[in-house]
Amino acid sequence: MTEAVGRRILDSLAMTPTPPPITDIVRELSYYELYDVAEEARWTMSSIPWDQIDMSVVDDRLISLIRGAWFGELTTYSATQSFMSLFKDDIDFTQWMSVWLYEETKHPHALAKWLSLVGQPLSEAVFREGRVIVPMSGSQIEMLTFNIISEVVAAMNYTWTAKVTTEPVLKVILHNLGKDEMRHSVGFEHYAKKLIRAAEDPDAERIKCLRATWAFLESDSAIGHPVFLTANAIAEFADADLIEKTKKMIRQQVTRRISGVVEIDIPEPEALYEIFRTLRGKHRSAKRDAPATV
Amino acid sequence: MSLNQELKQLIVDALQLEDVTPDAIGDADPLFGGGLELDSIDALELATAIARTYDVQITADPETREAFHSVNHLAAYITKHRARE
Repeated sequence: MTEAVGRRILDSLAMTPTPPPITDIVRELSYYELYDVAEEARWTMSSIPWDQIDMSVVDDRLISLIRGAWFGELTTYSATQSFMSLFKDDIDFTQWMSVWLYEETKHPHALAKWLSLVGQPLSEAVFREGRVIVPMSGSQIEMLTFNIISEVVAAMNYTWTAKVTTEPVLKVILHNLGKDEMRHSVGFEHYAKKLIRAAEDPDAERIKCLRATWAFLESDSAIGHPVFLTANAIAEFADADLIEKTKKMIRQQVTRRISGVVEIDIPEPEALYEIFRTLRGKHRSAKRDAPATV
Repeated sequence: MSLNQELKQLIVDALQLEDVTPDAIGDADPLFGGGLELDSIDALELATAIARTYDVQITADPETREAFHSVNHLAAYITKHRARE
């Protein structure tokens, strides 16, 4: 593996790709295809059986969990601002971002409506609190990586919660949200892979991607994303075995997805750090030893 | 080798800083927001290496954050917590 990584670094250092100009945006940009997929998968607010809420299984713990999930979903606005600013010259990704924002806005919408129907209205003050801008990474690949991870975690969280809740309407909502989040993770994955392939120094981008992933695997709290807060709240609902099993699944799923993004085989989460260090060490040595260019 | 010197070597090795020598890191130099250009993920990586090497627990409390200010601060933190354990 080490030699292969070294060769790839040296190859990438020699590459100075100049992508050809786009002549057919519909065929060449990913957005148009991703939009079609999104439209096929889309659910509507009116498809949710709002009149079938079973109040007999709604308690304070469930309300607290859903309030937390709703609050976490409000970060979409600040994330969109950061993405739009960071990718302002990317005519492909920014179009997809607008679809992502629309679909993600439906998530707090559905959760807020459920809360309102069970007698738990939400105030403007709390809404504004959830929209507070949180500092994001200044690196495009790190932002994409963190979002692949947070979408996977959110998808798993919603899937867990859909399994453990007995409230039928909430089950439908959470099932829809979980599917959306998983599809969104695929979108971010697509753009991350595209960014690496088009980069002047692909291994520098791979290293940033692996480094961000390692930070997640090493410590969930290293990423101040509110979806992780929801994960902790869910722990109150499920038995320890299910939590542990799901955490393991998240780590494996994240590793598998990132392995696909960087196009390096990562057999298990525990192997990621050594792969990252090997790649970073080789890359830095190659940079150091490269002849100076005039 | 003094603890400060050990820590400088650890910083260079753990973060694979090819273009920095341990001697280039001053005892009181800020580790973050300074010349080394380290960020929060570097801090996590360094914390992991320190915890493994010196068998001290690194937690996300204000004292730990303060410890990552400089090599001097790190050495004081490690000395204090190793002595306790």
